Amino acid sequence: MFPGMFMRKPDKAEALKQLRTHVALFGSWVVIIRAAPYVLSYFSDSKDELKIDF
Amino acid sequence: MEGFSPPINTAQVDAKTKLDEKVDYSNLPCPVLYEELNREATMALKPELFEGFRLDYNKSLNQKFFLSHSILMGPTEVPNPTPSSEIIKIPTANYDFGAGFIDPKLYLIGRITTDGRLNARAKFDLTDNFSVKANALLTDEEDKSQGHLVIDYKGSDYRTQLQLGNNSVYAANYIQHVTPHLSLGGEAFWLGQQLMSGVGYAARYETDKTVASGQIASTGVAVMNYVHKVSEKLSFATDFIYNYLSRDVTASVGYDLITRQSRLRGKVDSNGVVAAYLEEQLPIGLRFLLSAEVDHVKKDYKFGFGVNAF
Repeated sequence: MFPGMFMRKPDKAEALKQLRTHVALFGSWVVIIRAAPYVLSYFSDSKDELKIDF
Repeated sequence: MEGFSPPINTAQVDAKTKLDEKVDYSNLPCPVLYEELNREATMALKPELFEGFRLDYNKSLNQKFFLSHSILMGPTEVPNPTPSSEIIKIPTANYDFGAGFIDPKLYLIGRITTDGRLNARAKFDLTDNFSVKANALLTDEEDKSQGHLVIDYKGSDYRTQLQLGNNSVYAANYIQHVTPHLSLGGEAFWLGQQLMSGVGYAARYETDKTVASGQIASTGVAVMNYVHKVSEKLSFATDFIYNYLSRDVTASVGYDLITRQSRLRGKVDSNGVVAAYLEEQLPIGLRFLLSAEVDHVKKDYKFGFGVNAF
């Protein structure tokens, strides 16, 4: 699961900076996933409107 | 038969009700656990292969308590002190004693082995949507004991987990359905002892007949797999594992054949390993096991037979 476990130990400040980057990436990805159904639902509803026009 | 291994002929892919043409994005299903994204491929391609003789006996004391006894006798690989590539094995035998308590909201399982290891697992459902799991492994080897706690929350269309382990290990993951067939997930983790962190991304697409999933992480590992159910009894599976930091790559193909009395799984991988695993349910309440794994490159040949008794 953690194949990089035995890599060289980096400096702590640098490691914490990288951790903040990874947490920010994870959080952003969760927000994108969370928003996806709403975006898809919006476009899906738009299609329905077009169908009604036909 | 609560608490025992699932029946041989459990369906490979969960049956699902067909959804209407129109997608209802406010009523998406709940995804599988993040750590089980690859469960269909794992089931088909990574059965519990063993070498030597194996006996497992499980006895229910009542509806909630059971005991288990396991014996495994056979050669075990030990590190080779010389730089040769040859494999060294020594004969070993182990007895495990296990006890379990299974209740709809709580399960407790413990196993202790004659080589000095204690394994304990617990899971408690605080509510329908909120559960806590704990695992512990205690050994007589210095610095090899481990503990792990998982807090799991299940929403209507998502699941999220927070994990804590000893040696300052922390991890979080999140997975959610974005369409009725597609779920996306991610994880982040921190290994305090190594001062190392990582982030991972995952996707899973599933229908009645197929499951495809992929994962990639900043630690350098990318995994993809695909399982196709060609009939009620037969599924084919393939996976691909690539480490883009070390440039290691492995690909496997396999099958999973389930009949009324037996289950046969086999695989071939790009490292030259050929494996097969057969479980046969005998009418007298025994399950007969045959295991074979042949690694032509390493010249490592493993054959096992065993019995499960209930």
